[in-house]
Amino acid sequence: MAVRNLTDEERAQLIPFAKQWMYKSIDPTPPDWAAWEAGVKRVYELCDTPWPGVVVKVPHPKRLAEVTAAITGAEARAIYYEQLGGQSWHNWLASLAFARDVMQLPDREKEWEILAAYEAACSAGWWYPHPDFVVVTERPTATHIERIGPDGPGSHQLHRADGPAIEWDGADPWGLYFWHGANVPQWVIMDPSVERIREEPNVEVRRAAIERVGWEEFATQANLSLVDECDDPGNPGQTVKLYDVPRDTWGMDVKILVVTNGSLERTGTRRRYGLAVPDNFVKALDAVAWTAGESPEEYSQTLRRT
Amino acid sequence: MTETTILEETETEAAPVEVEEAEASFARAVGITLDQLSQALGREVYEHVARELGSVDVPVLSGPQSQGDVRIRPLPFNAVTLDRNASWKPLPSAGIATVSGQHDHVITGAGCLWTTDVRDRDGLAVGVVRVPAGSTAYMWHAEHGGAGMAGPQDVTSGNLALADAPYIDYAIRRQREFQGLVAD
Repeated sequence: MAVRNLTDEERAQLIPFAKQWMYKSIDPTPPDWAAWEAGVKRVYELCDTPWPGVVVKVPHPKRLAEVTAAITGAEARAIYYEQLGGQSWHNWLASLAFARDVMQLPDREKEWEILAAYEAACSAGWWYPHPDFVVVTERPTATHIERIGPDGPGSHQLHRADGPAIEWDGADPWGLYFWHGANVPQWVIMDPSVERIREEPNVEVRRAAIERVGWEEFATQANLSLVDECDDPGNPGQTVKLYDVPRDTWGMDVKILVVTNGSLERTGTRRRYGLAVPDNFVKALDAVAWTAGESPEEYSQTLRRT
Repeated sequence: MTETTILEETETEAAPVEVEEAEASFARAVGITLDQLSQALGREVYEHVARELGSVDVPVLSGPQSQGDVRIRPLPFNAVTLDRNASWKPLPSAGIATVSGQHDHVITGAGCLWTTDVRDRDGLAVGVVRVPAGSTAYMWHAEHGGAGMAGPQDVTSGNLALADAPYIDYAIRRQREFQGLVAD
């Protein structure tokens, strides 16, 4: 097998190509079902498995797990982890497609044929191939992502503050909830409360829920003790508040500094948000200067904040 | 040391101005509005930001400023050291997007230089902008608008020694949070 390095031109195509596939993997438009079925049939053929001729189409992955479990007698949870991600699992396909479409490796007709079949089979939502049947889901009808870095690995993460980040709507809706990349239960996004936060055992979920509620709101409702408060010399007219956060709330000893955004929101208000700071701070000014990597004197020289 | 010039853009009268054709060079020391800056970069700020600040000159300052989760800190500053052999490259007119959080902070400025060869006591610096005499650098953000970094010609207060320097360096530093950096 010939192995070679990428050329500079090919290397330059890596990120744009991956980006194109990233958007393809969250494309909400319905798939070409005829092309999908042709692809799946070919995959069975390539695996020397007779085409069962039974296709069960369900709205979303939860139903897929339930339906498949009911047919096979297995546990739904076990099925859940045996599904193929279809459109949602494009990373491996994208790598192979790069070799085919960009590098255009020669003498790979057989491989490209397998790839084309699997690509078509993955053009719908999640699917579960079985000797006796195939279950397949619709594509998500919406996927919400946020940019967290430049194009390339780690450029985006799932996030939605007012609904499911991945949603299947329609007569039998379903969705998955994400807060800045963290998969969270529905209540975190749709109905967060201090009581629920207190009862939540998972610290990542708890943190997401606190951020969703907002630190200032949480500090008030949860009766966090205010350690110190001062005018923000780096943000004229605004105050900074330093709260003590009990260890069992955040998962470690930490204090929270509630500060105000330098720019107005669309609504004309200023967003207040919390920053975690080391637990040893007792002065709000020291803590806010620390977030800027400066001493309080240095921080107080700030001329402008937006 | 106290800086006395505090520019409050909200107190500036937002008089409607004729927006000139996008200029090839916007390295003028004074008088570039946020709209002009956005136009030159081919980017758009939020509509409410454009409404509030679009026709107002971007304040050009030689002291420390904050734009969202990014701090602009003139050198010398004890926490930041430039590598002796730092490699400098010109800032392109389309700007360079740095510290990309949810939105890019875009740095530009004709005649200005940029390096990432920098050491930072706290690990916060992403790079340093060098603004030579006669030039001005700008940091642009969709939500936070523009922040101008003065060249020596525009130093009228604060560290007046900078007025006679051939250039002013500004460290671009991220805000930090306990156990990790802040994504804005």
